[in-house]
Amino acid sequence: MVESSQNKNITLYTYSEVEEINGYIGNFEVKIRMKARSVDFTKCTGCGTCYQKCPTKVDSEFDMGMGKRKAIYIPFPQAVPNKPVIDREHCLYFKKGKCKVCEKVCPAGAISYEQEDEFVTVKVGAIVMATGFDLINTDIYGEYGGGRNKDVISGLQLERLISPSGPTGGHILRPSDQKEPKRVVFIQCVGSRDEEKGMVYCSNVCCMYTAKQAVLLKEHIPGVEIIVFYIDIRSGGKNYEQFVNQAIERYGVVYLRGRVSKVFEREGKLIVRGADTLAGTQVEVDADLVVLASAMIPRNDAKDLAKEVGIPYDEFGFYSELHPKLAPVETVAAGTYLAGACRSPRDIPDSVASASGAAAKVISLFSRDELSIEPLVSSIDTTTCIQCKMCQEVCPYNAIIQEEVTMRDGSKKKQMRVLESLCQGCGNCVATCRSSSVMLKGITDEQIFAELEAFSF
Amino acid sequence: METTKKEWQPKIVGFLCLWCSYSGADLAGSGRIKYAPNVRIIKVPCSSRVDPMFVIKALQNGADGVLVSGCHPGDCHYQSGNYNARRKFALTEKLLEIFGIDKRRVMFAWVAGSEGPKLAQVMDEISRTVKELGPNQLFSDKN
Amino acid sequence: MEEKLKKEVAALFDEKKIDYFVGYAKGSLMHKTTPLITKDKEEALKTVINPFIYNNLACYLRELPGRVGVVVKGCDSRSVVSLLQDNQIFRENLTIIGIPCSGLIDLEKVVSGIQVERHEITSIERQGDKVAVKAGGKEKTFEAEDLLFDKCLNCVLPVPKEADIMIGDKDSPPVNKEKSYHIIKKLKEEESAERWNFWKDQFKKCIRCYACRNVCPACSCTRCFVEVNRPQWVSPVQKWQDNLVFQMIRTIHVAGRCVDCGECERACPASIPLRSLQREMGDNVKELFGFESGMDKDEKPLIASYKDTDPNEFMR
Repeated sequence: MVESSQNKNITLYTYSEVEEINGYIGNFEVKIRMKARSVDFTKCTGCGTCYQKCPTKVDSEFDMGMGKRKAIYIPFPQAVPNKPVIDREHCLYFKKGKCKVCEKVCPAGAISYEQEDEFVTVKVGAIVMATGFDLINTDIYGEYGGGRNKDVISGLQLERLISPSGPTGGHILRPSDQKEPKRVVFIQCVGSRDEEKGMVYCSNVCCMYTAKQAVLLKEHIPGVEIIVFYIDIRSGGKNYEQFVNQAIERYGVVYLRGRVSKVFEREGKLIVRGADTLAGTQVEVDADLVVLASAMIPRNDAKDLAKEVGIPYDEFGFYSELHPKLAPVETVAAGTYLAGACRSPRDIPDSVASASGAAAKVISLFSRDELSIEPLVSSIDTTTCIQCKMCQEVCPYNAIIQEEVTMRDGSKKKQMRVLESLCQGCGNCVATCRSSSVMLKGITDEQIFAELEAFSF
Repeated sequence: METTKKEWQPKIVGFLCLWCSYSGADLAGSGRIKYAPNVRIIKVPCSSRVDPMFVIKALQNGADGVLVSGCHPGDCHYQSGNYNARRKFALTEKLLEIFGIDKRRVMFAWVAGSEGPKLAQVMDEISRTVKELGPNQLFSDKN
Repeated sequence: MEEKLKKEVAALFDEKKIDYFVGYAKGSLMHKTTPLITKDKEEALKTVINPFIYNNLACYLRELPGRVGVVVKGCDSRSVVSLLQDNQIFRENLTIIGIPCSGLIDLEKVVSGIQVERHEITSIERQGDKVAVKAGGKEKTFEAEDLLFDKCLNCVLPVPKEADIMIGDKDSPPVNKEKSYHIIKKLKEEESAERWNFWKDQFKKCIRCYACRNVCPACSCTRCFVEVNRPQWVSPVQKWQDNLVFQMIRTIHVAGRCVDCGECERACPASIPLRSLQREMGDNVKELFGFESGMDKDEKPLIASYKDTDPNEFMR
């Protein structure tokens, strides 16, 4: 992150949102809302005095609610840029009109409570979507405590507990009483591969991070017992299978094939009741900590953004690629590419691969002055077109424009034209045009008509 | 022994969108799902490419039935094509009603690329319905 | 009313606000009116208003260059709005002169009502809900709803909504939905096969003169689909099959544009009840999409827009 922030060809817009996207491949105009930070970044030196002194404590999003941050904060220690923003929802000054401690202690005079959202419009040639993922809210699983039990955590929460910069400083202490767990149970596929309550798909990464976390726990806490309830172990990736085998054979992680039917509390212990389908028995174990491998889902506003950018998404909200095998990073919107988990759940190597792919696509796009496109595009017969602009209205790609042309006698005339670089060949305009003035090359009315007649009824 | 008379088979035109319904047909095929062979498929890029004129002309050309199928609303490969198409289809259906064409001859369906079994079902359904309705004599001069 | 209209038109010409005036003039046959399109002020002052101003003048607007002053009844004003929605005319070039309408008298109904030849009719006078007709020495008073066009008896907009100048006050024709819908209602009650046979017989009469299309303000294409020959959607030979297909496709094309002005039916030399088709389609459009043609010029055209909540039940 630090490296990319220092590259002269990269401009980072952090704490910003895309408001509007216009234009087309090679000529996008993106309007960006830069949200008010209440801190003047030109003055701030990132010394951190403000967030040491701020009196308001808020649950840290980065630590998944297990640690605290201040109302003026940086999300995590390595954040780029390493300068704080004020969370106006929780800041005392914005809530009650009093405090201003940060302003008093700031040696650079960078605090600016009056700052407003700013808008900037940038011209870009291509767009890479890398909006990532969210985790499913496992509170819907009443059988796993429904979020009531503090010691039933998600894999990502455990990740924070293991992290040296996490809320416990890298000591694995269970949230309820800050004691080291002696037995940890992992439950796989919570929300994934579940047609009833969750998502039908496999979240792809959980098997591997569970194995990794199990190994880390074994190394951190001597003598810890680890039990993993799983449906299948999916370890298709380079060296993945060996890694899982190592967790089982060398570290002694216990893998039980079966579902957990219930997690409940009894005498200060979490009781995990489930099935071991290989042994064909019911199992009941007491645990100090239960870790749920919750499903990866698209970001909650992924669909809104997709509509703005003009790319389709699947029934869950993951962005659709142009072709699942042959064009996995491209989208139907020319000049827009996908990287990472916004397309489907994926792990780091796959995300890096798709991001590299998207970057390479952009570079190869920019390296040429001309563009090769699909030949199946619409064209308009301007002699019969009455410029009712219905085609323009229905075109999902804004590929139809009205332009002024100079006729041979010097007079000016308005005409409709299809921008071939944008047209994706859906044919909506053709069927909408009453006077048959729009034609879709390759799928003309005449051709369809011939097909109809060829059936020779 | 009774001689088996060859049963009349309806001829149905199917306009299937390339991305969903046609893929659905592919899937039904690769899944070895059996369905009525009466629908002759014309592949179109999007259900929004289907002009109501196609439906009317198919009937005039003597097709016994017409099937138009595209992606589910919200799933259109071209974002909004099927929404535009849905308006046209609703109008087409009313048009048939106004002129007195039995609207069961024309069927509009949403079939996703993953819905091979549904495609087979839809194909069976329209074949069965049209078979019950009998040959399309609407435009014939005979009666 | 007529005097006020003339005054307004003269003022428009004097203030150089319009280049063309489109209104109604006395026709060559008694009681009939004819469209009046002129650049000349004196000529324009021959304009008339009476219960026989049938023509929907909106259909001339597309082809007139410059600024135009146009006289519209309620239904015509909807056509104007519909053309505005379709980008066929532009509001800044138009001066819309609205006339509230109490219904138009159908001469054919008069003739069949009083049972004399048309040229023998000497006077037709509208008096509120009554119409007094004098012909060949006879005199007879009719209920207005017996002589008005079917379309007028279920008028949606008697007073133009989109108008710059209004001539006269509120007015509206009597409402008799039953009468206005008698053909539609009868057909609706029938089986679909009978309906088909009805239209089949009707279109055997069609001579494919395209009067319905030419008089229709919603048919604004310079080249109609019937004139496209690659592919040939409709054969030029007038067979009933093709006549019917022509009208079916026309019905789809004007859906969301048709304002029930009834001009297609009035212009039809074969007396095919075309209005019933268009009106029923229009009612369906309203029911399905809540869309009424020509009501709001800022609304998007029917086919060019959609809602997530559009009907979906008919889809499998």
